[in-house]
Amino acid sequence: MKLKHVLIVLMSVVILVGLSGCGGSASSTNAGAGTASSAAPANGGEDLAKFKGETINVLSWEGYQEDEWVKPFEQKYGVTVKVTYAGSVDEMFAKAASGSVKYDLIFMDGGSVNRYYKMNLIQPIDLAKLTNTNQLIANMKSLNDKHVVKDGKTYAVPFAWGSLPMMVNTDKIKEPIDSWNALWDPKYSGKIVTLDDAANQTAMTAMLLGFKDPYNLTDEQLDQVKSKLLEQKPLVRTYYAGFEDGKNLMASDEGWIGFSMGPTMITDLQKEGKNVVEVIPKEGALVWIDNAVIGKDAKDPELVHVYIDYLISSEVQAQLIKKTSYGGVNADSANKLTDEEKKVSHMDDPNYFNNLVYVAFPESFEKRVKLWNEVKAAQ
Amino acid sequence: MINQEQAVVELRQVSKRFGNYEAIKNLNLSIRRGEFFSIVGPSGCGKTTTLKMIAGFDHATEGAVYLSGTSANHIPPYKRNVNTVFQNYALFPHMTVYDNVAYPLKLRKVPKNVIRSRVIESLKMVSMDPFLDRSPNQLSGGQKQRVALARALISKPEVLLLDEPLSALDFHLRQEMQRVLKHLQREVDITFVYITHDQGEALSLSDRIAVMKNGVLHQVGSPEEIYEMPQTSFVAGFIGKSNLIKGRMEGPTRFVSDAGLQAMTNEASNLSGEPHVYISVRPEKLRTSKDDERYVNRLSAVFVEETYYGADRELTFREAGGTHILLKQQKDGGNVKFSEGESVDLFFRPEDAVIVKDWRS
Amino acid sequence: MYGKNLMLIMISMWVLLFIVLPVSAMLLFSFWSIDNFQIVHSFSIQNYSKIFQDPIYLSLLWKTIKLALIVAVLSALISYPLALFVNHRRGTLKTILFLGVLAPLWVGYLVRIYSWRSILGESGFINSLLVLTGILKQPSSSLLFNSSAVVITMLCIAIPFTFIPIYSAIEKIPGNLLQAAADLGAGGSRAFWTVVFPLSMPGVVTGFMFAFITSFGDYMTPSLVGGTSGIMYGNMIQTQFGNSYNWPLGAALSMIMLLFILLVIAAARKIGNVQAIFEE
Repeated sequence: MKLKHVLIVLMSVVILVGLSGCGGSASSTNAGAGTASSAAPANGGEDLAKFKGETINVLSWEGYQEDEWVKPFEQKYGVTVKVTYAGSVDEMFAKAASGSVKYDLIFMDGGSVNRYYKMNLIQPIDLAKLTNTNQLIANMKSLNDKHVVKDGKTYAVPFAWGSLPMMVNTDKIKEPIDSWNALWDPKYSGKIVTLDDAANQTAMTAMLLGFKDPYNLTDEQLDQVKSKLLEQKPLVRTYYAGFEDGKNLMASDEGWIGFSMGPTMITDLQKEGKNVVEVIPKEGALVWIDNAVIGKDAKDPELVHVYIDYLISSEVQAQLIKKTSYGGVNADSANKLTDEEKKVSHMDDPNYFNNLVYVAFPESFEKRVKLWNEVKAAQ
Repeated sequence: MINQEQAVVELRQVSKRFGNYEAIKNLNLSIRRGEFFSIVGPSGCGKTTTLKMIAGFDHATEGAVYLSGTSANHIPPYKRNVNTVFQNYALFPHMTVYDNVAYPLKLRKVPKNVIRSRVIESLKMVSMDPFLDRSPNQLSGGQKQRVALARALISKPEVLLLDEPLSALDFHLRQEMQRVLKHLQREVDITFVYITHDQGEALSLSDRIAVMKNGVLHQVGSPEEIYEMPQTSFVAGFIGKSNLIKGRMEGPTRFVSDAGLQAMTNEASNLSGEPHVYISVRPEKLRTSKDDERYVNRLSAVFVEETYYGADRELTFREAGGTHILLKQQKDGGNVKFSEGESVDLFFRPEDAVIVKDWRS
Repeated sequence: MYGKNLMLIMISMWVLLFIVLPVSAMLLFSFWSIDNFQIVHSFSIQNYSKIFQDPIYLSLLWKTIKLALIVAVLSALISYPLALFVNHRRGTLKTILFLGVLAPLWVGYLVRIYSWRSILGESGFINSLLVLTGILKQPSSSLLFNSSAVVITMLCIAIPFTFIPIYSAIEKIPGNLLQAAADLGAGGSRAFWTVVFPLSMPGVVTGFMFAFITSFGDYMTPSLVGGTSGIMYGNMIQTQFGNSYNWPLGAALSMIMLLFILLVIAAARKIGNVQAIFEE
């Protein structure tokens, strides 16, 4: 009798949960279908009122949607920019893929675009609707396009970038450093810190080993990368887990030399009074380029185009560089920066890109994760 | 007087204070080897504190406890040859009946085969030998009590302390356990010190009884002495029922109550000097008619009510001073019926009257 | 009666929503596979066969079990005397000590890990002290980024969880049992080993289990203070749900972990089955 009661309760909950689940997905499908038909024609002449009351759902990294440039846009068009931040690549992917919110605009590194494209989560961008693309830094754009143009269609527009250089504490290490080999130098045993990240560790090691395309490795090359990393392991103080973690290690002198997560990590340490410098080794360094992409089910793609165009304008890009010290994508924005700001963000050196290797979509995330786990698990 | 050799437990001028509260006041007590000794009194009288001092769980603030003639003040409980049966049995829940009873012997490293025979012998004594392998949780209250007894007796202590051991049992079980206890005590010939608030239990079980109230010892004596010759108004009222009428002595055997009742007693009272005394007469000693010449004391009262108790009845009267008077009669054909408000003369013999000290607290 | 039914419904809902449904989903996922970032919804045991064929998974599982066992044993060994000590104090001191033992629970998870890092680090508290007192000539780097640092950091969170059940088990032991033991001839230590310790076993087992489970699943502590070998079974699972985007494999790894934890709980229940002891 009692058991029967419990069963009835369990059954009814299953049914309730099931029904509500169905209801939810049904209504969102309708919403998606509705927007698809409401695409408006491109219009060069500005009609400020036509987007009034609309909302853009943005899935973004922190620092990319600051009030300084979002508020003026909202006021100009009478729209709302609703921002959701993700803390990691995985979190962003999970949020976008779950489909619980249909994001109109998503930010991601160019290497990830392929994944979203394969999963059919994004739609092509109509470059004819953008007015600022001709101001994008040329060599950066052509590098980026190799990864975001699929079947002749452009799926992403660059927004910001950063390199993953080496960081060296010059108080502790006096000799000049110019190669990733320094992270394998027994002289610095116990003072080397490096990133706990399968894809970037593999790519950096591949560059050191001289492999042409560090994101497209054969199994044999992956094996060589693994032995190289195993060789490094006993010299490493620790693999750090994130931006703050890495900074903390350098600041407390646990690490003297390391694989950084970007120039901001180094400039932050300098602000704390650490004599830590950025080194782009002769083998090259990785560079990530974050792109703006339009979600598959964007409500009003035209408005998203207008917003993207605004975000890559020289005004917004200059504000972005000043605020975050990431690299900007608009060549003209350099005119709005001080010399110091240009230097920090490497906007003064168009050749900076020549030594950088694009953080791309690897041959297999799974193989790299496995490789990295095996390195860490090795005794 | 009891001589030193006979006293297995002795308390000499013992006082116990908890902060400002005086739980025991200058207590002198001597318990003889082999007797069934009860300490009885209402809750808060100090009987449990007394027991704890004998067991060693508590220590006298002043005075000393002597066990077999030696001061035990500094002997810890586990070194005293005294065992306790606790109110809630205190059987070890993680051990079987066998292990519980074997516990004291195992501590003494007695050989295994000896332990076995003694445990079985001990459990047989309380008829619990079929329950060797049971866990205490599977036993009834009475069974637990028997196991607790077997465990406390197995190492043959000099004194067994029993702290209200029957209070958690129902009426019939309590009566049965009283018989068990009585027989057991004879059989093992160990001094039992029995704590109870139930005066009936104390009267039926004990060789001697100590009556306590508020940390003060009122009287020690055999059940008959306590019942027949109470020394204080508290003892007279607490042990059995008693009619107590306040008054004073006018001569060694002549009592006059505040309301004018005059009564003679047999024994000369040494309380002549006291400003107030009580005369105590047991309800069963009162008569509604002058049965013979010895019933010289007459008490005028008014009938109030009758209560029926099967074999006997209790009549309630009110005497001139306003005190309710109880009269107990065996039921037989000749019982007279009284009507409410009727004036009745009650009679008692001088030998049935006891003059007691005015001491209710 | 009505209230009782309502309670039953609420508990069933809770169990269903937060235990049955997610675990079933996980179980289902573990039999799927992934192809080109798309989950393939067809039944296969390939994830499980992969786990049992590739030594990395089982060796990490074993490493994690060993570490969790060490943490649980140490946690119980430290918590027990602590619980006895606190239990014997009275009044305000007792409250202060009790809250003191639980203090690590007030601090956030990551904050706690970072605190230990700064305590154990080269410029940290312990090194400074050792250098200041002249015990060490220069700071030692061997305090941090190894398994002992992981154990210490995990103990910090495990001890309160072990302490609470042990403390309450000891507190629940009726005082008259101790009196009875003393009365029957057991001195302090005999009474402890024959009465207090066996009766507190359920608390010890529960506490041990808590410590074991919390450290078993902890992957942040090893990765933040464990140094280059700070990888545990939990990190494996995390990477499957993250970078490697192989949810089915992650689900299969999780199911094995769940199964293992259930086994531990079952074993613990058997050892610590003294539940009905204090029926009133």
